[in-house]
Amino acid sequence: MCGIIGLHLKNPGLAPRLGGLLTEMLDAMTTRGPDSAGIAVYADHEGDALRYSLRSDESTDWNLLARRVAAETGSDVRVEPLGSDSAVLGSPAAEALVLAAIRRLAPQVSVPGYGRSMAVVKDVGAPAAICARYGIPGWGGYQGIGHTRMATESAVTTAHSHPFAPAADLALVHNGSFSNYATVRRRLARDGIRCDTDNDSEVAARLIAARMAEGADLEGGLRTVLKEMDGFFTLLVTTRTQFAVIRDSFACKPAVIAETPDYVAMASEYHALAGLPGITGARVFEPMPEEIHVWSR
Amino acid sequence: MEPVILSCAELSTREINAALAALPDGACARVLEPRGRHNLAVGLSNRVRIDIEGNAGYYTGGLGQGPDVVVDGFVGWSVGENLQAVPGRDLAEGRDGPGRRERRSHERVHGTGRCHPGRR
Repeated sequence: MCGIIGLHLKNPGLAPRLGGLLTEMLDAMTTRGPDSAGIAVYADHEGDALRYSLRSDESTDWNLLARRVAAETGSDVRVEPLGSDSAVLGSPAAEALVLAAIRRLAPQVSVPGYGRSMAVVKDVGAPAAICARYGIPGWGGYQGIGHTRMATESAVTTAHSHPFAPAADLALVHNGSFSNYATVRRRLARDGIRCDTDNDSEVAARLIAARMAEGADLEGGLRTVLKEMDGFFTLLVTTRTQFAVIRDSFACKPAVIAETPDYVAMASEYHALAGLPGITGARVFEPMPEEIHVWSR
Repeated sequence: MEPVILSCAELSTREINAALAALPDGACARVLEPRGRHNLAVGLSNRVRIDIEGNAGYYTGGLGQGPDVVVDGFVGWSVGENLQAVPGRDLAEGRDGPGRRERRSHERVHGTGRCHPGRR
């Protein structure tokens, strides 16, 4: 079992409350996944810099790393510490250059996600504690997704936690389990696409990213999962502009969507949505098997 | 008889279910602000009418024999499961139902049937 939640705002007036609302939703899903949790939050930022969410379990001098990445990539780098073990690094340089520089200069640092709009934090422990540690309730933005994990197929570590965000501004959370993910992972490896972990959900995220890199839109990427991957899944996948939900052919895993003029919200169980503003007037429904629901800003 | 009013904003699910179980036959109760709670109105054996006014969670009105349960809203999986006797009814009245699973979640269940809305 796992819990997933997401909120896509249509009314910019709610933007300052996004982090607080996501935190409450995620906390409500603790019963479905107390092992670990993570969240991807999208907000508008000035300029074209890509923002890299960094994480290190070893003590890391983020300012020193930023200066060294700046020297290596030949462009300005900004860094904002985030809690004791994380930071967000902004750089206008090409993503491959920056990712390679971080990998070489600080091999202990992982990059849970990056993009022009998206920041990702994830960790082992109770969802509410994780959100509090990174100050998520104070974050603003226009959409976010989150996950509470009850691990069934791979280890409980930060790296195995969701969201999986293998491409710029692309994030995925998954409730369920895939059965042929090792086969798909080998297929991806033949195309030069490597997974960081042995987690099944990461394979789905990388498959979607691969199809989108080839030119597919988000819906096309999700159709590829239906076609190529066996298993149970409710997936919530976001890009910089889109918010999408898909369920497997048997709708084995729960999903509830609530839509109002102000937002679209999704969760594994309705009670995660019950505290949202205006929820009593929302249109509440369960997405059908194999249906893809996409909202765009 | 005036309905007894119980609010999930003030009471735990156990407190609600204990209060419902203590009602005499023929009584009515309104459960307000269910907020998607699981296990509301389960395990009852009295002949009462219970209106749950809003969206409820899993197992609503199940494991019972006697009460009529009406949900005005969306319900989660396994509503009205394992109703044991002829008088037991579990009625879920959906506000909308665009699809098959949801209509199943909102179907009316009369009598002794077992109901597995949404279960696959």
